Amino acid sequence: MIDALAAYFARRLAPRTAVRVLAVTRMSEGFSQETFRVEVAWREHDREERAAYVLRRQPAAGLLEPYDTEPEFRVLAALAGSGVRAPRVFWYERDPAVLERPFYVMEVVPGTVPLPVMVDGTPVFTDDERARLGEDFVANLAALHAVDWRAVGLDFLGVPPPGGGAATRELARWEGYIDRAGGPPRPVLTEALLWLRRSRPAAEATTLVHGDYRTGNFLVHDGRIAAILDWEMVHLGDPMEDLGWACMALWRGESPYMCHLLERERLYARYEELSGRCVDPERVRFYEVLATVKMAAIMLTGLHAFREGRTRDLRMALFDHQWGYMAAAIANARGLL
Amino acid sequence: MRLAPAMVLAGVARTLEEDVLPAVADRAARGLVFTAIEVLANVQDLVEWRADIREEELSGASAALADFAARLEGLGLHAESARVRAGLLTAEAEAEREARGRALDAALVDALVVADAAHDRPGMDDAIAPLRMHIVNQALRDVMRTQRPLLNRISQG
Repeated sequence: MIDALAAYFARRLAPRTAVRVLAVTRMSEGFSQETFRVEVAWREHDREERAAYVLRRQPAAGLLEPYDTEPEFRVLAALAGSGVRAPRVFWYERDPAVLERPFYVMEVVPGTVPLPVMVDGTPVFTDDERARLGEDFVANLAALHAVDWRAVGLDFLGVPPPGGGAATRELARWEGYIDRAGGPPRPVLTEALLWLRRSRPAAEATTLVHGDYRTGNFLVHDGRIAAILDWEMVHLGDPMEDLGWACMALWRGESPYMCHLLERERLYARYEELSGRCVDPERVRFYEVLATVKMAAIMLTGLHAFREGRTRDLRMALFDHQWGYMAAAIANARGLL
Repeated sequence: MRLAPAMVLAGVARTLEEDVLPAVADRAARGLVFTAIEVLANVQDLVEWRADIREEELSGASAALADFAARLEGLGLHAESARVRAGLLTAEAEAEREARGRALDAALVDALVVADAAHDRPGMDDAIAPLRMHIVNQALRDVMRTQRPLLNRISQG
């Protein structure tokens, strides 16, 4: 891998000379794409220079198969200079001769990723951290939803039909994942899907939607959100979808704070103030139920890849015994618990 | 749990051999990894999910379907009731436990479709209660049996 990357970076960093890859480290965060930190050195003006990059490679199989990492690269490129804190991206590589599968290279943003997934009620952040990160969390979401996606050429993501088109399309997308994953019938999922089919709301606007906007997908540096990460589910849709996803119980465990950051009412109020949009609690509720179904679809897709032997990533097998949590989350979102 | 135990254990062994072992330099630790692989290879075909737990799940599903069918009858939905009963009978005729489990889940799914088609009918919200109760009970049983996830540690390595 190091040799292939040295040749790749030599090409990309030309006319710099003597380009060497010093180290490639696989990062353990993230269950989907393969993420590496790559340390590179080169000669420039008779001095050795060094830089680090993050490389995101499309996996062969897994949670969101079939993969296509190019849309997220194009979105990140389009977001440069916007009010959204997102990593700068440099190059997209489709040629399988380089690293077998497509990948892209982006900047290293300093910071750490807080990962409060399914924890008990113990606070993840101090009140002070919560106040600052919660404000950044909403501000970035409002900025994302304010992006003029037509002006920056993002209509290639597929513009949903007006009215209920966004909800219909997202529901169909995740039902498709569930169907392709196969496996035994799951009554709790059917109950939610039947309700979602009957309850599709009309969107008041079409915006860029991150699709996985939550704690665990942003970097914190000096107590502030330094970058929003993991754009692989980005699409055009109803802005309430990102709120519904952020409000999913799985991201807060026993905490009263959405994503361990803000009370639901506070999240809605600040979002309205910063975005100028009205929050429709019924639409958010639809997308909160859809969020649980979407998460289930992702888990089942990973399990399917494991069951078929297309991935040897044992983390996919976790979703089998963790199904109870997912089922409880779906039942809870539906108001059955 | 739906994956066969042999498949899970084979996956653990494969991970140890292909992903963990190459990163282990200490000879004694490598020997223990090989030991674990041999142990897993020898137990994987000897274990199965606990029968008593599975039987409890299946009897809960059967009871919910029977109750729902009776409530449909009470609402005058005779054809729908017969459809639910037929699904239950088909499932209960399966001799093998896992096949019976899959058939009962399929019958539950079909019963939910029946309920959804008549969701506006007065009394349907009460009639569907046993199915919803079973769904909740099943989820809670699964949660009670599941150890606290180590997702943060898995992510951080």
